[in-house]
Amino acid sequence: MTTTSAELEARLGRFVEHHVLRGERLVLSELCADRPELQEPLAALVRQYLSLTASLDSPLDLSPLAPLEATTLPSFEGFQTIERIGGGGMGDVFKLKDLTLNRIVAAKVIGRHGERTWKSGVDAFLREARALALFSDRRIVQVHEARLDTDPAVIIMEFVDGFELGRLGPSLEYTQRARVMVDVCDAVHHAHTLGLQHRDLKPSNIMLDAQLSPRILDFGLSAGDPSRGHFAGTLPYVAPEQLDPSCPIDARTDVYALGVVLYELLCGRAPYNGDERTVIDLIRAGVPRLPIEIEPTVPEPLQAIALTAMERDPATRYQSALDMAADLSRYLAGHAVQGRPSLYAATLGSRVRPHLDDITDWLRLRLVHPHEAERLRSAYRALDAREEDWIVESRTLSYTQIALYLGAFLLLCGSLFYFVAARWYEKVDGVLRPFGVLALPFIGLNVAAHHLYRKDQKAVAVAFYLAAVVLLPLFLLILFDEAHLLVANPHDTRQLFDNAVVSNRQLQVTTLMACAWCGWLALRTRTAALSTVFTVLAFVFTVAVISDFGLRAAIEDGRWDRVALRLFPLVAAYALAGAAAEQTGRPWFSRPLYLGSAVLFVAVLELFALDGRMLQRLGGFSLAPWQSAHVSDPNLLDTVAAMTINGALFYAAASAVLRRGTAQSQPAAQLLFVIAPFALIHPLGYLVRTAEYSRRVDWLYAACAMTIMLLSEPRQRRSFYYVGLLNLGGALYFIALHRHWFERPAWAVAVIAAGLIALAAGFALDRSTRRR
Amino acid sequence: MSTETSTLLQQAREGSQEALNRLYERCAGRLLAFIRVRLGKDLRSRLESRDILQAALVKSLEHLGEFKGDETRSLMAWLTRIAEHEIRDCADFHHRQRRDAAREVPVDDDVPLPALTRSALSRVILDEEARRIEEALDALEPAHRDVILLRKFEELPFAEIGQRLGKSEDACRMLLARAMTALTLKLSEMPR
Repeated sequence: MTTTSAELEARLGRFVEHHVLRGERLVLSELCADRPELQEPLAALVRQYLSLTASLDSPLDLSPLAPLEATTLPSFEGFQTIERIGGGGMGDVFKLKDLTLNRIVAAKVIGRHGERTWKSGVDAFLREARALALFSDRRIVQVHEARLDTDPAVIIMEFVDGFELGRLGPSLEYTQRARVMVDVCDAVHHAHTLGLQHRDLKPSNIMLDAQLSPRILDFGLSAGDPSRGHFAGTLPYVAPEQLDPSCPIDARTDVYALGVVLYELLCGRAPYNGDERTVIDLIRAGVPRLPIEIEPTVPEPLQAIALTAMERDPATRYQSALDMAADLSRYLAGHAVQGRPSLYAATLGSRVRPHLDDITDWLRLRLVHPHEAERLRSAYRALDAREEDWIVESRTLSYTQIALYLGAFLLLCGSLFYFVAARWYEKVDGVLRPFGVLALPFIGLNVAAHHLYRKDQKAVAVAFYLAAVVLLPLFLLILFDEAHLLVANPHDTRQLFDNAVVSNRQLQVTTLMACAWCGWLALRTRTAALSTVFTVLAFVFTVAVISDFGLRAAIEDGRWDRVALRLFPLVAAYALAGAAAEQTGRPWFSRPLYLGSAVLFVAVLELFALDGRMLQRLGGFSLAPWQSAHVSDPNLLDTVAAMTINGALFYAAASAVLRRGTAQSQPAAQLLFVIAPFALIHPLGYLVRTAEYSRRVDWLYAACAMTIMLLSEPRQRRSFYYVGLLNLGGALYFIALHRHWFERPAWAVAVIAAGLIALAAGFALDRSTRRR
Repeated sequence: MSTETSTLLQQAREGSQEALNRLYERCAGRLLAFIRVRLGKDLRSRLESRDILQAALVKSLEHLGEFKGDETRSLMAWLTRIAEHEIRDCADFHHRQRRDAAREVPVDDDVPLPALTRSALSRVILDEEARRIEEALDALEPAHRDVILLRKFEELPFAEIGQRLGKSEDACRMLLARAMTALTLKLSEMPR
């Protein structure tokens, strides 16, 4: 590849050298006699070179200008024609002197094809526009008169001494371009408020005068009747809905055209090029190239504004030209703009996918290790399912943010202290003080967060919302207690807390309200943080509800299986809610729910396994007959067996979710993969801890821990390594405990010796791999 | 062709606005491209190239009587020299104090430009092709960029380029050939 391009460059060099030094053109087939396959690419390069020299050497005398004196000028009744000032698709434009009013005007001569689209609605439009005082807006070029029955048909309008935006735009600074567009949007919006739409906005219809103030031409020429306008306009400034007669046309159609004008102004070319058919298809598809791709210096916020205005669906565009002007002003004032084109996410997604395929390929070629591939994949997935831009942006910290965070944090700490003082030490009386200390901050935090959220300080707003969500239950609990609301009978055994500290009902109402508030906020702010708090609150609420069904009794009796059974519906509820959130396009909501489901799944099954209840409940059988008689716990084997089954279940669940699960459930699968090895070796540790079976089990435990640790190499799972290390530590402890070896230094020396051997083995392995 | 230029120059010296306008219309595009490349990416974003173009044209207007040549080629060389002085002044000025406020208004109304010339000036545009060439020139190594500017924009004869660069004429020709090859390759790498 490199040799080919080097060869190509050398040949181009020879061609150019001959051309520059001798003025000769070498014959390409001779240049490529030895490498005929290079002729085609070389020909392309030579064409490029020749067009370059042509444009650099073009003699200045040949500039394509109109002759000094225009040959023939048309004449119009009542006017003196001065000169031709331009021509466009619609027809030529002349500068005239109005002999009656003694003023300079412009006349646009309408070609035969132009007449068709203009129809006779122009006169009606003129009357309407005058009545609406639209023409008091100097940014909109006045149309004085339309003579459509004369030959040639002509439109007499105000004369503007300036140049088309399309011609002047490329040499303006980006801020100047943005400022021009603010004026244009503002003027268009003014017309919209009067019920008039342009329908044919394009750079050649916008003139700039010497002060760079825009003047919009041809207002009302394309359609006076607001219901019409399909198939009017100019490609590629036509909005998708103008191509489809069944779609309504409104002010947002002009917003689309403004977006295209801005797009072109930014990167110097129209978003869609090609023949008419192609351009129409491209407009319908609505996936333009990013302006930054074409012109790297384009400021991203301006690009975002252009693309937001160009959204295919009118509902996702700026809803008025004024909104667009406001966003442009935000950019000019140095604030963050609000436009978030859907194209960004779509583009990122379509570009990430090939990389994901590449990873599979790299894995197949052994270029990467499986664990590296997995990490790459999850990084790409995070990109793809990325939270909104402001969350990513807000990871850059500032002192403002730190101070605001600190404020919210201190409020939270103070409230917690206050709650403790109230509930544990009963130092709070009445409702007034809790209201002042907790409810007012709650309201204040929410108001501040609401305000900050709208001011683009979204990350801080979310932190405030979080703090407020925590304050709410604290306040409600104190309130209920002080007001003696929903108080429980202190002798009721179904209460979760004894002494009636907090009644079940109080807890239920409190957490339900906090849950609802938090859920609503999570949906509004679209953040994983509030969704996580929602998940936790939902758990507390569930606990409060199942307390009514004897949770405390079950715990006091050690009937963990009952606790587990009551919590089990929540596992399913979390998973279902997560799936529903993902289906409805709320990934930030589904992830915490899936994770909650996974964690609870593990906890419930482990509780279920305790005391051998799982086997009894599920199969009604027990391993007790095989258990040796001197073991005091009759269910020990059952428990251990159930725990082993759990470990396998976790592993199976993790694999299933990894393979079949949706994108958002993958973190849950990863979590289960981390937990599974712990769960697998846990029964052995449990057995060792009870110290009831054979004493040799602890050696087996140590051996298993070592094995898992070694398995971390072929499986490349870090969790295996940690599991092995932690359990090996446990095994060493229990071995010493059971044999009373703690008082013997020999045990310590033996362990240290083993460590030295492992170190030596490590060094030896290192040397041997280096030598290889 | 250059006879037309000489005629125009002659007319302009005699005070014909029309002729002067036509002359500037011919040179302004190339001159703007030259100024932009000379400024480089960094300065270009901070200085308004149109301001410099305008200042250069105003200055040339004042000194039109001093211009001795009689064809567009030497007219370009003369104009680019004025523009280079202008760039240097602006860059110095820019270093001393940022003139953000001044940048806001690109066309200064106080400048005594005849209306026709002013209109020629604002009509100058850089088309797509000129922008691509400018971008490619930015990416070239300085020696290559300089020789292209000297030859293709300032339109100096090789003898003078040789003097400026301290090289022989033939060496300059070779350098230009290499520079043009590099520019062609740069252009072919850029997306259309």
